[in-house]
Amino acid sequence: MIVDPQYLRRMARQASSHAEDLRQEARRLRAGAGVRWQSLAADGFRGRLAALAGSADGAADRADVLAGALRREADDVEAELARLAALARAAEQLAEHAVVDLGNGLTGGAAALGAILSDGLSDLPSRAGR
Amino acid sequence: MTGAVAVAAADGWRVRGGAGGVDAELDDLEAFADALRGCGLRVGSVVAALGRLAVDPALPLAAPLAPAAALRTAAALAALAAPGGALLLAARIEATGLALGAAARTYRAADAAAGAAVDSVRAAAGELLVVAGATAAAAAAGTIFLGLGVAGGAAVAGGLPVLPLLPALASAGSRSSLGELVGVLVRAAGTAGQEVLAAHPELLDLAVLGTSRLLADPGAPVGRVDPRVATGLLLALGRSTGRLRDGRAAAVQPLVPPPAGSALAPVPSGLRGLLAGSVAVSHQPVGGAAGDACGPGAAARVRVLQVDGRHGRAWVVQVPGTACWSPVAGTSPVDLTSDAALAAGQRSVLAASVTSALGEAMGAAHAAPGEPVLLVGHSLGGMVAAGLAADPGFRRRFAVRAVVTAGSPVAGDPVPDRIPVLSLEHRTDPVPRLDGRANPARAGWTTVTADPSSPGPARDPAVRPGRPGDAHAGEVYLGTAGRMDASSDPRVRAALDPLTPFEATDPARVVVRDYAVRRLP
Repeated sequence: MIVDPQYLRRMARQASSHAEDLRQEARRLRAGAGVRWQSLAADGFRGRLAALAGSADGAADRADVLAGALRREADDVEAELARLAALARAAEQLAEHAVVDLGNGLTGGAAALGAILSDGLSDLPSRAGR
Repeated sequence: MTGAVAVAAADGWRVRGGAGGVDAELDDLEAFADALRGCGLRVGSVVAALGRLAVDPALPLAAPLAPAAALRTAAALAALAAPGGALLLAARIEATGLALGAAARTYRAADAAAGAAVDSVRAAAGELLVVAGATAAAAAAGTIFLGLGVAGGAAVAGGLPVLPLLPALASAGSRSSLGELVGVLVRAAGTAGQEVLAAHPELLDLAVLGTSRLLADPGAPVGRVDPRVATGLLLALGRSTGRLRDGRAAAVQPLVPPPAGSALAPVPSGLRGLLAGSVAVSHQPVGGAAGDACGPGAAARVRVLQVDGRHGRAWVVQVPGTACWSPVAGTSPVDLTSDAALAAGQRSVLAASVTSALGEAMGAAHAAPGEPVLLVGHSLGGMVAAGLAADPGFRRRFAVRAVVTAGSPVAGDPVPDRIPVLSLEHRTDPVPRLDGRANPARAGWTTVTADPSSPGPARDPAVRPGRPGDAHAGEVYLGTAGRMDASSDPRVRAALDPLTPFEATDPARVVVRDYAVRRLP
């Protein structure tokens, strides 16, 4: 079974989409800092929101890294498959040439063999008469 | 709920008439709590989808064809799944939503209780703080309150944060001197009413913050109760228990003082120098029979400075802060019992001893009546200073001309308008807020609030993130005082002006008189 590079690219697009989803949630988290609440606890809460938003952005960044890695992998797989295909074609051509050469070789050999055999056979009556 | 307005200063602190309050739109809080939970669910869904990519059968098929790229993909997937990474993010967001919802319910329950109980609220400061749980408001909120000092031990059950207060306190107390406090708290919880909590929503804020912290780090181990925050727990008790019964003041005993100008006896120069002595004496208790600062026979050190000031001889009284944290009164009066007595508006052994010490010092110097006196203290020392300035009997005997407090809950002390009061507070220090009300906003009482926990000119690295107790340290207040000395803010300069008569014009002529003060049973 051979993997389809396009399938890997679809996975990359999914990862990018997830990254955007995470960034959207980060924006929502940051927007929550605007809720009307002023107190010592509120300060801590806003700090927490900022940290969570930062974590969401960080996760989004990592999802983007994953997407990039998947795209690179798709490219590499595609290139490898192309290289293998080229190799296969080259092998095929080589095989074709070999067959032709073999055929040519066989033809020439047979002719030479025929000539030898013909010469030999033509000598047999005289040798037999001696 | 509404909060007071503060005036921001360019130097990074706020100058105002009192400490902050709570201002919250509860409907908004609850709506955003729901939104947070939705956010957590969505993030969880995204993280799950990313996790499914990791197990997609295409990846092992692709690896032999592109091994180097496959390694990069594997590393990217591992980063997503790393501990503390995206997998925990959803849970943290949901936990924050739960905490916020609990906070909103807490505030709302307190509001309801306030409406029902406003007539029965008693103003005794000793009953102000019911951070200890088991109040109806707390139960209604589904949250057991705990103050700032107890970390960890939280569990999340049934979608609501539940902290078994007393076992947690007991556990914490087993590693501190606060074990006995648990029993006192148990009794106090039945008598200190929800109406007190309801009447002081600022205190709820401390509880909410404690709850939030616990949720922020539910796996944190049960920690030691921060002694400085224990002052707040103590205030919950006040006069509701006889356990914290103050005794009688023993006669003060003169001590051999450290040399004037040494680190142990800083020269009174500038606000920092004036305050430094109060912090210094806190670190120089007089050991008891066993040599420890709080055991039998131990005493506190009170310092009286005789200064040749700009306008003549002046006196500076430097009062130490709390050093002993047992709820059982010992011989050293810098303890929780003094905290409670002062918070309850009572005269304390410590205050009486300070009065005696000042009388002894001025008598020894043959001081003339009317020589100016400055009272300075950090934490408990500030409570004593403000309490004495508010005492008509003390004022009849001594000419109190100024008061400096740092990190002290002193809003309830009726210091006359003619006596200037300078109160230093740190935004994240819970102690000056424990009296649950703002300092008077008037011309003669200046409260300077700095924020050593946030980036800016007042930042102090000694204040660690998430550790509000750090902001209460005397040394951190000294940093703030030093910045105020250097400030050109006209309001700060005006607040410092009454202190100039107490600054030594000739450091070599400063006379240090130290006294050991003890409590008798």
